[in-house]
Amino acid sequence: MDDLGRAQESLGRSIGRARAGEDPELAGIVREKGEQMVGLLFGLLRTSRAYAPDNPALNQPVAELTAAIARLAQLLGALHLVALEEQVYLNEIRIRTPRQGRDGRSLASELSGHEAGGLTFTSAPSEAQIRALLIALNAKPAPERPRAALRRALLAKGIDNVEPALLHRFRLAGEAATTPADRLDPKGLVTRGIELVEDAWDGLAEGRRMNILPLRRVVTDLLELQPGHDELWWDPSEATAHGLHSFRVCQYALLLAEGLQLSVAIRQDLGVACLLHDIGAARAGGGDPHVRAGSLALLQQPGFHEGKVRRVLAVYDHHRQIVETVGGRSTLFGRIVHIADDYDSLVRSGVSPARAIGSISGGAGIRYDPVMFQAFINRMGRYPPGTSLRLADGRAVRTTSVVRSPETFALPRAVTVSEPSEVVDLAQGGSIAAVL
Amino acid sequence: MAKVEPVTQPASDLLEEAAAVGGTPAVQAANAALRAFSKAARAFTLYDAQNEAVRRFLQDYRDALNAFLGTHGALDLEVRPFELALRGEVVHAEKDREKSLASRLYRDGIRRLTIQPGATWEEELKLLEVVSVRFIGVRQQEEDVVTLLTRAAFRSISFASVGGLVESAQDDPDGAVRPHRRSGRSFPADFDGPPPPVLPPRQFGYFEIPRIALEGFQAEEPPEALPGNAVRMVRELLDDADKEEMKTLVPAVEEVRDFLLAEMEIKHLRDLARVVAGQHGRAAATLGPALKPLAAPYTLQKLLATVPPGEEAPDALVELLDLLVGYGADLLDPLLDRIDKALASGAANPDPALETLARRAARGKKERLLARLSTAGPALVDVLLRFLRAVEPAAGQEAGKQLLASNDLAARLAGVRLLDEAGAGEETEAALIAALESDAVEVRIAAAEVLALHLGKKAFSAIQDQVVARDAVGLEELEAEAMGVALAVLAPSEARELFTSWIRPPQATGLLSRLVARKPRRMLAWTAAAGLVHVPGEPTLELLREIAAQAQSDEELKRRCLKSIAFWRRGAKANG
Repeated sequence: MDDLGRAQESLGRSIGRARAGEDPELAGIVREKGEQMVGLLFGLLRTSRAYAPDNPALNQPVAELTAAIARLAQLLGALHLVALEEQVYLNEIRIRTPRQGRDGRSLASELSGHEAGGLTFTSAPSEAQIRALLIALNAKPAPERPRAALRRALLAKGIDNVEPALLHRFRLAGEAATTPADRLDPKGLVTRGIELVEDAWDGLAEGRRMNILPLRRVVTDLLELQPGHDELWWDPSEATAHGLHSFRVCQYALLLAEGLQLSVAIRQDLGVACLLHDIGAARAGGGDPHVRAGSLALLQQPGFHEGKVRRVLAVYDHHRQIVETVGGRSTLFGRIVHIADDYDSLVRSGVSPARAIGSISGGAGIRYDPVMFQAFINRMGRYPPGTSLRLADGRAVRTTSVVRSPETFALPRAVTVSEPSEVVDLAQGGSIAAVL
Repeated sequence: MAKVEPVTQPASDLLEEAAAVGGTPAVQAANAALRAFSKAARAFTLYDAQNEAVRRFLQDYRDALNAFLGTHGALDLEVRPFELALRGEVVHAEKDREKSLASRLYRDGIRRLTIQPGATWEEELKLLEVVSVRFIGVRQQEEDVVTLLTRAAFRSISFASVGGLVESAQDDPDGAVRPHRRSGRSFPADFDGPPPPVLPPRQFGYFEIPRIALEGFQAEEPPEALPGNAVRMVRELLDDADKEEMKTLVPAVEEVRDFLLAEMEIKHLRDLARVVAGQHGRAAATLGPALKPLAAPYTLQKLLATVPPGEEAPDALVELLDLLVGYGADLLDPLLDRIDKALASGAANPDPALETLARRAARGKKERLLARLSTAGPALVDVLLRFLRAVEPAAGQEAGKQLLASNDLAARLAGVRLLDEAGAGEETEAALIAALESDAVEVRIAAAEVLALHLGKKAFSAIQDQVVARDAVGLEELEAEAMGVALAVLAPSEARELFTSWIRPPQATGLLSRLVARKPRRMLAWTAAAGLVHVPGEPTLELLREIAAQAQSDEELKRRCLKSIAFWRRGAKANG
């Protein structure tokens, strides 16, 4: 077989794989209902200017819009509609945009007067609420803080389930991000990741489909930012325990994978697996059953993808010790997540990060893969982020950095606990008196 | 999995690419490369990957891209909503969003794409694959172009993308960081079970991990491991599944099946089929039907195509198909169709793999084989008879009866042969008597011969009736001879009596009738002349002479009689 023959075969296989990976039902509904929803909303915004709100001509499109939103909410939960330039995204899934008006206005420009970049529907609105929403959107925007004014107007009309979203713009990634505004915001990333985990848990408990793409984007952003970035060790005050745990396990696992020099593709899949590794608890409750329930839930998510196979097995294996009498050796992901998960569980239970890493070292070779453990501590260091230390000069600090070089293994960066906080780089000087 | 029939001409859809770009040689070369790229990427929406048209598009893509890279250096493209620009000049434009290469890249967030002259064919192919997958419109939930390109980890292809949407303005005075959106539900605090025990630490520090160990980890998740892991995924979760859970596994089994089929992973398809029979076979009723589509004609063809011509079917394929049959798949007819097609196109024998698989599919399906016999062509009949003998050595009689219903003459004759082989008996005799009424003279003759051999009890009167009836519409000489011989062999005395009545027809008694004497019917006389050879005794010779005398100017009949007399004498002499 020549080059071209091999190319045909390889492409045929890839296309076949991709086809097997599609969730035709979800894709179909989001495409169809999403397009219908946006088309109706855009059309109603324009036509309702010419008619009284109770004009019968609006009855049918309003009923159709209400039904389309209800169907999507049933499937996806809260609906986040973002309009940007000529594109429209529904829960981060780009959908076909409606034909723009003769005047060239798009949904984005219809909303921009209120400085709104979209609408969030936390539940399906009634027909009456849709009519009231149209009136509010068509009203003249307030001169000051129009988005906040619009939100107040909606609340005054009894619409507490639709919120105008902030204006959005595209953020340039990687080296293309030349301005500070374009660069990833670590704290925003933590918030986004935790919220997505929480949404996924809520969705599973309520029987909704999971949307993997936004989770994958969080992982891609984590990889771009570096999973050990100092500012990522920030705990949003209202984060749930499961949301924060899943996000931290994702960071630890990505750090370990970095130490193992795994490929970007593998790390992407690993990150997604970590964000969802305990999701079974949303269906089966805590304890042992969550492992099987989680893998089953992920398996039941439609669409074949290598990432899916990896995360199902990772979840299935994530509590297995390295040597099990039954079932043979755990998968690569299973062994990585096991270390990351146990480490964070120890920390969550109140064990200091330095003692937790010591405990993991004690299990290396029995509970944990010893080489993976080495890769883990090579990135986490002797005093992993979050470790409270007392310095020789008496100051109490909390570590914020992972290992930056072999020489800084036991010399992390830290911030003082007392206000005003101050960054202390132990690699530049200073010595540790005690671990608190 | 519907496929477009192979074509040799590209569809007109792919010919309507915007090509009207003037400018410098670099612009023209870039335009040619991008048109070829776009066409190749869209080809998979219309054609099967193996189609000749796809091969041509790939060739054009490689030639045009390499021509550009070799002459003009890096192809550094700015991606706009409907255009691709090279150093500010539009080099590719397509306003139709569904066809536009630029639009596909732009809407997934790609803003710049650069292909360096060092790009390998593998990289160029991977790039094409990413864009093709998006043209087909799949993986919307799991991947987009940005994540796919990131995964590819190119060396000589780079891209700049938007890193997602960000909220650009705060109109609330407080707080730079958006407040956390509260989760709507609460979950148990012990969601992950109790924390692990705190173990005494060991000595640890920073140690470089040896290269060989790193390579070991990197080799744990190669693409080749995916099929095995996919099967394991189903197996692990099936093991403890209750009946309700098992039902929810059906889509997963279907997905893995489709993936393995796309990969042509016969061994792992077999493993999946084994897994589906899990829980001591209890799972098979629920999950087995999910594998039945593998036996559909198109997919079966793909599976069979994995066996090189002339080679035996590998054990994995044999076992897979056996398991599919166990799950209710019907493989017999599709496999027989293939054998039939191969034989009809001139093959001397069926392919060994096909014959093995078909023979296995035929096990326990005697009735189906018999039913198939009645419609099979002569070449397939031989195969079917081989299978039948393997299935049930005593099935010959039924096979013979089925073959007699065939439209094919050779098959019907084979049917008579099988009835002969089956030996005398009431059912055989009934079938052969029925065959006496066949519209084919060859079949009637063969049936009469076998009836004579079997000395069937009811055969004499049946043949007699048949001769009389045929005589009325046109009895041929050969058939007459065969029938005559059969009658004589079956019952010589009765036959002579019958022949006598034919040679000496009863004369009418009326005045007018006496003037016009009744003559024997020519073909009845011919039948008698042939049959009498086998009837001993002097009166026979008398009868033969009488027929010859009656023949008068009928030279042919006269010759037939003289021949019979000669044979009769030879026979009489031999018998003393």
